[in-house]
Amino acid sequence: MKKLKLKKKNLGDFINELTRDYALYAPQEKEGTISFSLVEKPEEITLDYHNSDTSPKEIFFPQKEVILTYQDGNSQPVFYEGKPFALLGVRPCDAKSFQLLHQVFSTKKFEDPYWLTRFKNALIIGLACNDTLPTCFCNWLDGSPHGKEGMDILLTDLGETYLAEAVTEKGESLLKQQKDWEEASEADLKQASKLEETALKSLPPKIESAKLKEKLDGMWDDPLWEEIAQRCLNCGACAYLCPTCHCFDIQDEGNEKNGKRIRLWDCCMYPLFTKEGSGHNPRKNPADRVKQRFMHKFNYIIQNFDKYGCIGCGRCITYCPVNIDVREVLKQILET
Amino acid sequence: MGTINEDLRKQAQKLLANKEIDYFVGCRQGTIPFRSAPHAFRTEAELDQLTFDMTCSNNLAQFLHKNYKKGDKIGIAAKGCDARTLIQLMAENQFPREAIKIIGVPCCGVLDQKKIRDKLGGKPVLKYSLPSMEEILSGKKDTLTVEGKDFKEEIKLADVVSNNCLVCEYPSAPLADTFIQEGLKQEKASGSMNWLEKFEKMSSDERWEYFSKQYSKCIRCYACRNACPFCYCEQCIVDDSQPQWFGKSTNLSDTMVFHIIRTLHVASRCIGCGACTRACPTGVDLVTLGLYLDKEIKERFGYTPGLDPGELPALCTYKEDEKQDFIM
Ligand code: SF4
Ligand code: SF4
Ligand code: SF4
Ligand code: SF4
Ligand code: SF4
Repeated sequence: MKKLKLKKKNLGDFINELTRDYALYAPQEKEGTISFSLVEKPEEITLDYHNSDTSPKEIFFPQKEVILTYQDGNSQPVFYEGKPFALLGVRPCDAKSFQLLHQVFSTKKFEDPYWLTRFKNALIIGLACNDTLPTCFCNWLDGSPHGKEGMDILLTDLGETYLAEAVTEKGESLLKQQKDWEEASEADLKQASKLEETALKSLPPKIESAKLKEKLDGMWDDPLWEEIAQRCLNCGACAYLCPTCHCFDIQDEGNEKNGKRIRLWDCCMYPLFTKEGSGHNPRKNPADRVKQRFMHKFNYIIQNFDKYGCIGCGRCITYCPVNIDVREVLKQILET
Repeated sequence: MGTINEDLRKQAQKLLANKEIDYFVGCRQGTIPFRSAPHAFRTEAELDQLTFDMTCSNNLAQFLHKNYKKGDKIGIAAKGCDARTLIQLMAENQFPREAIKIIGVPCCGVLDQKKIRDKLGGKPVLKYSLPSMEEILSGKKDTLTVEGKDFKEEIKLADVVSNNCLVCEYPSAPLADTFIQEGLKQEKASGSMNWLEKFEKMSSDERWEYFSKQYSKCIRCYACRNACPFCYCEQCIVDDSQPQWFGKSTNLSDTMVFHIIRTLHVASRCIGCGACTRACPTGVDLVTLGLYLDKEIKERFGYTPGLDPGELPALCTYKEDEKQDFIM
């Protein structure tokens, strides 16, 4: 696969090229919050960032999406029809989250056409983390600050230039078109692996993550859930910022004659999440909802998709108002 | 006499040892800078971790109320706003006065994580050091030091303290069983009213614009509602489905209705603790409107919530002689 170098001063040209063929999304800061937003001009982008506050999953799985409209007895599904998406500057953990979401939304039994329409032709250009955050722990969950999973191209900041490595055929063919980018030298590759080593060292010491699933198998009635639930607010801050959470609710807006059907993010911490039509709620107790969050990520998803349901981005740690730190919870699970 | 924290731990240990309480509600140091964890301390040994400082930014009375079961006896380390919350919840018949042992702690405001982040332009803080509560309260120190990968900075506490703390009129518990270090008790926040006054001077169009901008950042996670001690309805209006009163999306019209209704539901009960604003992951300013309403209610009804456990909230009761000039 190709390994080239993109001079930082030529980044603007590359961005302009991408915006011609793609709906390009990249990290942008608005009102102190960094999110992946549609790029119109290269100046709007900040690649000098740690990670976005909100997760880039919202591009393929928007918080609110109209999926169908109806009028006088006829209904019409609504699919995304714009240019294919390109994402620039995706961190390795988040790129991995797309792979998990894709598995969830395209199983043998069910395919989610709304996810597929958006995700199918997307181009993912990742950006390696040279500088980790104190809340990062991707190394616990099969990830690395320079991981390539889920990307077409990985960029690594080498100072004056970005090392650009093709990961998939799609990435390779895009790099082939870059006639004036230099080939990367041995020294460049060495520098990149040095940076990876330093980044890895800055992460917290690993735990025995492989044992989590089995431990959780026996923790259905563990008092740990009550203990966490004492302070957990049962809000949705963690799930709504989480790159791997994927639950949704369907709502109709309109009247009998015409209106639209929308899907909206939902979250297992909410009491309404499991409330049944009869009024019965199998997860009435807040502790049961807390349990669901951790069981799903570190047991059920592993069972169903052979992957962790968390990629260690640390967003939930940063924003939980009552300091429920998933790393502490994982340690507690292993100690049980 | 030891430090505030030593005295606080001793008091709490005494309450537990004498079986006057079942558990003690306070804060533990958090796992990341500027966050602390509310906790129910059940043993004397555990109480070694009890901490009170400017990072204790959750409303502990919310934690207490959420976990309260009839018959419980609970002790609590209460800042002014925690104590006012307890008083207000007593006025709302949520628990009897005898059930709660209130240990007042002298407060100099709590930090707003987002203000610190904005101040540092998002650079992550790896280490920080706060002066002791005694030093801050006595006015000897007024800065905090933050350290990151290649920076070390001093930040003025007044620049990163929560907005509501800047205008707090009751930093000390108006009702307490004991007060830790009376000598350091603060009477009224010395911060400036500038930002609230600035808001008051805005025209209604400017206010509309301001709040539209704020509420358009909302992602409907409900951290604000759930962090608020007065949003304790068993079924919140946003969760009603038959009928569904308003949309569940993040469209401005929906988020605006949600926030206006919530503000009205806590009006004359909201004690301005700011827990809602600090809980918000996207930095929506929620407390300004609440504080402003608080001020209006005081002017119109001469009522301030959270001072008297025997008085009902102004908007939940009616008095014949109250000011009625707003009725045409
Ligand atoms: S873990 Fe934290 S962010 Fe998540 S629901 Fe509980 S309080 Fe909210
Ligand atoms: S659970 Fe927390 S750390 Fe894990 S992927 Fe979700 S937000 Fe990131
Ligand atoms: S069940 Fe909960 S933890 Fe699992 S994806 Fe849904 S919201 Fe996230
Ligand atoms: S509305 Fe906000 S400021 Fe008022 S009591 Fe609730 S959390 Fe505190
Ligand atoms: S905490 Fe913030 S984002 Fe969440 S519902 Fe409240 S205002 Fe909206």
